[in-house]
Amino acid sequence: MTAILEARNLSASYGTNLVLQDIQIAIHPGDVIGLMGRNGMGKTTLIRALVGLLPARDGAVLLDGQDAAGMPPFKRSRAGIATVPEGRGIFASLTVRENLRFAARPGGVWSEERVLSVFPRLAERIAHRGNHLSGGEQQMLAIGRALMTNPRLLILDEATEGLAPLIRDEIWHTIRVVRDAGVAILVVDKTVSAVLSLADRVVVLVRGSVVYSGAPAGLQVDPALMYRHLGVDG
Amino acid sequence: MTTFLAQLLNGLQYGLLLFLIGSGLTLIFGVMGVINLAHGSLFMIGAYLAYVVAGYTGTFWLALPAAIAGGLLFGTFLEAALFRRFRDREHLDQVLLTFALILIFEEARSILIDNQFHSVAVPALLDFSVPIVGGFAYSAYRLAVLAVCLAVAALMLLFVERTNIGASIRAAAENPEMVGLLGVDARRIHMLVFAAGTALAMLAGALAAPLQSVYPGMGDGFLILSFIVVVIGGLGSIGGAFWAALLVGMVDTLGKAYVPQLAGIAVCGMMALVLLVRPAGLFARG
Repeated sequence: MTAILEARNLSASYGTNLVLQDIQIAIHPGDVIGLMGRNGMGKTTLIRALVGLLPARDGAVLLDGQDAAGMPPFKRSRAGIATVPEGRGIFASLTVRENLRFAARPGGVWSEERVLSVFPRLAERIAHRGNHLSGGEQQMLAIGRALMTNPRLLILDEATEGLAPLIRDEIWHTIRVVRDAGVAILVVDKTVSAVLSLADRVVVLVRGSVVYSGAPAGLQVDPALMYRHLGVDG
Repeated sequence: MTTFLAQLLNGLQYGLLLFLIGSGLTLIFGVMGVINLAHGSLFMIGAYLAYVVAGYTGTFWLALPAAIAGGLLFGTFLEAALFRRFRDREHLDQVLLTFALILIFEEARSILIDNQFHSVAVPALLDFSVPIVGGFAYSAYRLAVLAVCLAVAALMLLFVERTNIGASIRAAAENPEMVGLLGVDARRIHMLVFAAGTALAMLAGALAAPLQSVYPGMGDGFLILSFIVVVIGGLGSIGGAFWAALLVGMVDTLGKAYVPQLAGIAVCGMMALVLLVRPAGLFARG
């Protein structure tokens, strides 16, 4: 089966500073992949390279098996790649409804009604501007807006960062709903236990290189690896 | 009292003309990240267009649709041919490009027309004074300019705040990277914004032509004040540009009338104060 999105021997840099080296990762339809690693190990940079915000220095990003070099982010999005970036990227001056409609791409299962049924709190705040929402509501809006593009792959970068535990649980529940709807997911999150329980596969980055790629169980049985690379007791 | 009233109306009208220029400038700067020093030249081109159209056709009224249509076409051309290629370049490159455009526009004006001062007659239909209060009367054309500018401002605010395309423009002004990640081709928004900004500047020039002489470099003063409007109003904010333009127009006009020795620094001092107290602009949304 052809991967929706694949990094093949991907290296990328900021100026002369090489930040990703020889990355291999393939995301197929229905996959749920946890991208893990301590801060500054290259997770967000890898996402930026995958969605077209950072060019490959070596290797390639393949979209549906085709080299995506030079393909701008808006075309990758239209090909079914949705991103919820770190910091959420909410349009502060747009209302909740305008944020959702801005991203709307008809023809899939995700409509404004469905998104609002998944996030009833957004329905209550539909006419409020983005900068008048709480952090949790902004995150729900960021995810809901990404779903409005009717993606095949949803990329979530630190989607629960800075949120209260109850809101975090709500976000994880929603991610499961999205997974159950058949959308592939690439998730970056500091809540290691939540990622391990959700993902079919985890990829661990250390200084821009993949040091582990496999089932969560394989990581969990190696406490040293868990501690060394993720900073948690296994 | 009548002098003060006249200065108030002059300030309002000057501010609204500044809004037409400054609103385009703030959107182009806010959405595209491009500093367009040639924006004042577009104002001049609009005024010369009015001079030429009124001269050839014998009617000023055709100059207004000509300025709008010509501005949309010219802006589309400039964006596609030049500004698109400079969007991701350093600000210094953009400054060099737009400074070169000023020289090119001025040279073209010199070759195609001349270097003389010209006047455009106030259209006969509005060539009278309207009694306002007591013995005070005000030029009907100036009142018409006020009305047109207010109508354009209202339409722009409605368009930007109430339509889907307007929401796209606000989104692009806030976070262009996110616009792309959501599948929207920002180049279309850029082209629309640049074309609209050019049309507004040229419309302002055409409207101003009967109010003042048409002369080389006439957009320079407007450009400087328009940049001040952008700074005070907040980058990319149409509502901010509106209130800031009125403020600048009033302070500049009343200052020149009542404290001419301080008028030059009053507006700049106001901008400096805003930069100190609220660098994002008085009307920027956080």
